Amino acid sequence: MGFLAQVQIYCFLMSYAVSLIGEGWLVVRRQSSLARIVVLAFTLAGFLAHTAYLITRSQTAGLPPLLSSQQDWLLVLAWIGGLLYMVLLLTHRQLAHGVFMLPAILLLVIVAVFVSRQTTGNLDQLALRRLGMFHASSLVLGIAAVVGAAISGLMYLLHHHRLRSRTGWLQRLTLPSLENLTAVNRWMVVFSVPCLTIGLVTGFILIFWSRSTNAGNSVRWTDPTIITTVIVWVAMIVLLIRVLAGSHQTGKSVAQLSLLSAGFLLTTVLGPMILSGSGNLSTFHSGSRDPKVGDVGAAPAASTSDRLDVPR
Amino acid sequence: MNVLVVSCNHHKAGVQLRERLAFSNREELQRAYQQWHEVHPDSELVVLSTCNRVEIYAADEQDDAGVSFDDITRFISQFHNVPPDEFVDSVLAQSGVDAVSHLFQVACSIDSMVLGEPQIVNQVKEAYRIAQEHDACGPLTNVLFQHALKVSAQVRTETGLADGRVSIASVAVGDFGKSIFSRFDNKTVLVIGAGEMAEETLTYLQSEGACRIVVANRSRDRAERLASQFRGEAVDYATLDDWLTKADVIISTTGSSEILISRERFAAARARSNCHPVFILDLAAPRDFDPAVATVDDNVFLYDIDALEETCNRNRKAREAEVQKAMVIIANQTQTFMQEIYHRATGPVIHRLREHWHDISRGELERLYRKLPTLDNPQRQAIEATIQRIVNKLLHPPLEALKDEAKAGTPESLLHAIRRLFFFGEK
Repeated sequence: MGFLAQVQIYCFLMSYAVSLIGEGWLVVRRQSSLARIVVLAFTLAGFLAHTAYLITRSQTAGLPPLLSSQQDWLLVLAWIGGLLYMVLLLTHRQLAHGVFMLPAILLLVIVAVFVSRQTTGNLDQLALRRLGMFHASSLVLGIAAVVGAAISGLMYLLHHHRLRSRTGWLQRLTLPSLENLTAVNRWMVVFSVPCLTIGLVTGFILIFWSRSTNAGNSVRWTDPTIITTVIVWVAMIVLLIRVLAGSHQTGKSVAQLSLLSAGFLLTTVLGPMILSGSGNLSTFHSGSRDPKVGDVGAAPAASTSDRLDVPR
Repeated sequence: MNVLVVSCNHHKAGVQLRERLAFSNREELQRAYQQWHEVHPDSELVVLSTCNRVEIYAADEQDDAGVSFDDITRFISQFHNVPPDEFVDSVLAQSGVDAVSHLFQVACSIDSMVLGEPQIVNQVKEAYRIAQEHDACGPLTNVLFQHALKVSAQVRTETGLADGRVSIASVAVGDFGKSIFSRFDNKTVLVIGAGEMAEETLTYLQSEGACRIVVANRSRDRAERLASQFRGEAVDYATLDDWLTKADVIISTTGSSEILISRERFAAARARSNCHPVFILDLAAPRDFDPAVATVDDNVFLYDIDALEETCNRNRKAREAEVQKAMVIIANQTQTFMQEIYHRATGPVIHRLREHWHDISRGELERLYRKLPTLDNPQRQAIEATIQRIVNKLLHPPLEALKDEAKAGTPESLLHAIRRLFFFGEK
């Protein structure tokens, strides 16, 4: 366990970065078995280090990673991406998934470095902890689906552009068929909406709970994290309606909207996280101190309960 | 060791001559192996006969007294009843290391008309199997053909010689079709016209699972013929616009001198559909589809023959760039193979030399034991071990010299010298 405790964020950040370089090299030289081995070895090493880091953090905080801090919450999101990438790397070796997935994973890990890692231990009440866990899991899965929709959307648009214009440099990328990308894109949108909805509803329940148990130290409805999550949710609902109802909706337009939603998500969810991590914005999810309402928690869900100040 | 090849291939001979010299069926091959065996019972033979080449590989363990190019030429001439004068200038005759290298190049598809095409390795495999069936192979051809198949696999794995598709139909389906659709068994394929290119493309599409095929042609007879060939349906040419609406894949190969499907006509058909992706292959020259059809909506993917040819050329160039890498592998493997063969040629002499010296030592030991009957077992064992060491030390220099010489070729002069020096009955 002592060895695991020594794993730092930079260990897996660098491993994923080397994997990305290897993936880039594979785009240039498809036959390079050395690059293939490097990608596999560094992704596996990075993923193991990533897992070890989350386990250590969870044990230190005494909470599941999703509930411990905003940083851990982002790292769980990146970990899901890493797991998916590993599966795709082993099952679809010829396709250039890594060129698209690794930058997203790296972005999440890099953002995680700049957000709050403050933890809280105010989730001793079993029911509250379960609800918090459910809230955080739903949101993380919903956001993972939005990111997945964006990645498949980007792949679709590049592939579409390649097939229509037969651009030279894009010919080197081996991508799934447009039919598969459309299916993945649409399913990701469809999957994200219920997840985000459940995440929001459970979040509201947690707020009501906090207000009923500790009225003087409760969460504000105007908290930036709540507002931005609701905005993302509305955007995804609009996108879902377009996907389901638009009879003349082409794969390209869905892909464009997915990218737009993900860009919006990155700005509205990651932006406040970074701002609160640097102390420029006060939100209960960051665990930062709000002069108006007192001490706050850490992770999206954890901090809800943190703010709730549940009696032990 | 003697390996010879006489090759009549697409580089030097036209299709008419190749057809005359071909061994086109199993019966002909059987007859050929029988006739060869009657005339040359001690030599080995493999006949490789494909549409692009007729090659006779003959091998013999004897260097000088074995089979010759004249024997092979005479055999071809008599078998096909074609005078040698009519083909000797159009065939390639190679022996030894060149013949080995040639077979490796053929098996690796470097010598093929379509560089890197995968069929040739199976044809080489099949030719070798048939030769084995007729007991025409021997120690040399067995090792040679097994090695050729191994080299072919190595070249395919270590180079990009077989990467990318190079025929119009395979590029259309494999590169473009499969980039758009993940499966074809649930797609409707519309064929407009009944040209040869449509047939070839349908073959590829069917191998990918396409089963709903409709053919629309001005001549109903030709449409029905093509449709029945691919278990499809011939439809009335007047219903073409309805099928333009429904089809997921459209292959057009008419002989029309004017644009058949204008942008307006296609847009009207498209307006009645749900704008599903449609993959159009305009394989006609001049084109059947107005290029502006591609701009009707985002889900229209139109490719004409030039676009496909461009990809074919790019893939061909990529393969050509790999030839040098493949040739290095072939050169190394040819050298390895030749060394193995040369080394093998020295085997019987080495064996006889060892046996000869050990016979002498055994004879001398027996004489010694008769003179000294009081020697006990440990003493005898010590003497035998000493004699064994002396024999091995004396054998070491000539054997090492043979091994070194065998790297460059069959060490005939050295083998001859050893035979002379140690009186192996050589005169």
